[in-house]
Amino acid sequence: MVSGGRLKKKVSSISRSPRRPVRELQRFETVLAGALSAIARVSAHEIDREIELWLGEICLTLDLDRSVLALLNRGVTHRWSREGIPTVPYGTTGMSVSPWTTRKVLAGEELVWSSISDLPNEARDYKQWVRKHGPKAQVALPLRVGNSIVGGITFGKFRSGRKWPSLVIRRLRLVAQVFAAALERKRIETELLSVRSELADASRSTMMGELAASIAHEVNQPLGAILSNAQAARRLLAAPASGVDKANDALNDIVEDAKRAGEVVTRVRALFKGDRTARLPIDPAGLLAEAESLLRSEAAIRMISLRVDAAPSLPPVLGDRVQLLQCVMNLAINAFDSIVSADSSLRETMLKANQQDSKWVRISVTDTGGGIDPAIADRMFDPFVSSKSDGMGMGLLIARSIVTSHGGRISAASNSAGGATVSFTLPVCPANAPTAP
Amino acid sequence: MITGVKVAVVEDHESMRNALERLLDASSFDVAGFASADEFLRAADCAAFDCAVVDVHLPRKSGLQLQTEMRHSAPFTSLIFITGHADLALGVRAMREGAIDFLEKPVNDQALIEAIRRGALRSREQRLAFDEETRLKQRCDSLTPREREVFALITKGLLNKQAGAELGTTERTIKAHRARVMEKMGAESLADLVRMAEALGIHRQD
Repeated sequence: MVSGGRLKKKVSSISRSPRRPVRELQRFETVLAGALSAIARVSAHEIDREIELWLGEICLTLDLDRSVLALLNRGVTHRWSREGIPTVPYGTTGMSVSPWTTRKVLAGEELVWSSISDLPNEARDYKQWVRKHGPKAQVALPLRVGNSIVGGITFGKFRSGRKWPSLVIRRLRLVAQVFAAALERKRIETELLSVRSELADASRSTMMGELAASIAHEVNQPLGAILSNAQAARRLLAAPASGVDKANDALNDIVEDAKRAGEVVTRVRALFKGDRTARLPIDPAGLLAEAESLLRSEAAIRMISLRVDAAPSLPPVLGDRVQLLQCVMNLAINAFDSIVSADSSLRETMLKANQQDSKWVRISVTDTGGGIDPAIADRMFDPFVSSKSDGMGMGLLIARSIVTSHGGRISAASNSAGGATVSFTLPVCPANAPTAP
Repeated sequence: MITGVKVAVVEDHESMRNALERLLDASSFDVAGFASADEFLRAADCAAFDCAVVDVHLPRKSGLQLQTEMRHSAPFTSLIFITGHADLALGVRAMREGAIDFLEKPVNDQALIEAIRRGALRSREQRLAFDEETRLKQRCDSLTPREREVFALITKGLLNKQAGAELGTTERTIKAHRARVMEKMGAESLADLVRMAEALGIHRQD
């Protein structure tokens, strides 16, 4: 059997002699230091990109031709191959490529071989495959998280065989460890993110429920009095001799209570409009950049490319930054949902800003999702209208309420090429407006 | 139909209270309004109300607490709850404790008036029953110890002769006692007397 132990003995004598491997090792150490610190530093959604980048760097430094990282249940998730060397499609399971290697690695073994002749007889089928398409030397290491093995990583040379100095093996083991930890971190953060978004949904719907209950209670109180007064007045007027004065009192009270109910409605409306918020000049390009940074990880998780396209030197608009951000984000999240539920092959969302005329800036969110359902097209900005099975139907309502309170207009249309565009206008900031702090 | 029904409205929202007072006044009830449970309980004549229309969600002392306290201070006053939030559990509890009805705001006038009539009727019946019992007790207290013994024996179904034997006296003496018992209790027949004995629980003491 090919075990790390036996091969290490074999290679240890080689690693001391020639000079080239020493320089190679020094370069390798530098690359490793970079890789390890980068992987530790990047945020969760950048981990995948970073791992692939460093697979390439490691291969180039060690003069290798291909590296493949595969996870249990997910198949190949990260890979690098030198030009001209056959690549492995994402999602390919180790079993379908090399069952022997996969079995060994998943059992926790490290496979290190320098030429086909190192491979044991039990790997007869594998040897055949290797002769035809495979590497001429390879290291395959398990990826461990705690005590369990979550996948494996291979480094191979296809153009010729090669020796594996024990230091290189030790370092590659370290790489496997760090990558496994990083992937685990990503998994946990993704899970956390979904829990957090569920929480946000729950708290939003709780908030709406409470709000609705308190509005209902506040309106119901004067409404109850109005009803009783009206019924009293009807009875009093049926006996005009005694009742007219009292009926008059009842009617006066009805007027007062009706005003009170009206005030409740006005207060609720003000709450949604956010009348008390400050209006300051805002750079539309900056607004979109900020929205993009907030949406980046959500987009990455849903495998959607999010792009910003702001026309150069746009004038500032007058508005409330937080509300406008919320508006853009609501529209973008809707766009993401639409792409995901339509399972579009092109997964793109574009945040755009351009000047409509001297008075208005137009901001639009374009997606490659399923477009607008004609059944709800005229009602899509109304409360509790949603094309999503779990939708509250509040996202577009809130967006519209924010845009209207800024004096702008919002509209939506399906794109001819598929997907939808929701756009809104914001007033260009007049010259004498207050400046941002 | 019963007349002169006294109704208390216990409701902290002033405009609601005024409206209910006006409505019930227009429906020929004798109405008084109270802004809290304590204000109602402190009223000298609180026990005289036939009905109280009470908001469940009163500040400080709730409608349900008021219901408990009224068992002592106004035992014959029927309770009708009104509520802004339909709360099934509260409603069930209130009804189990003897409330006449549990109405949601805005309150339908027909339903409220209907409930008040039912409440007043029950209130009057309970009051009558209580008065009758009080009267009987007073009469019973005016009986001498021997007369009370005779009362107990003959309403148990004993003949004069048997009662005489039981008490160690003659049938004639029993007859005289019996006539005085009938007179003092205001009974017109033996059957009348038996009913009174039952209402007073004379035989339960045996």
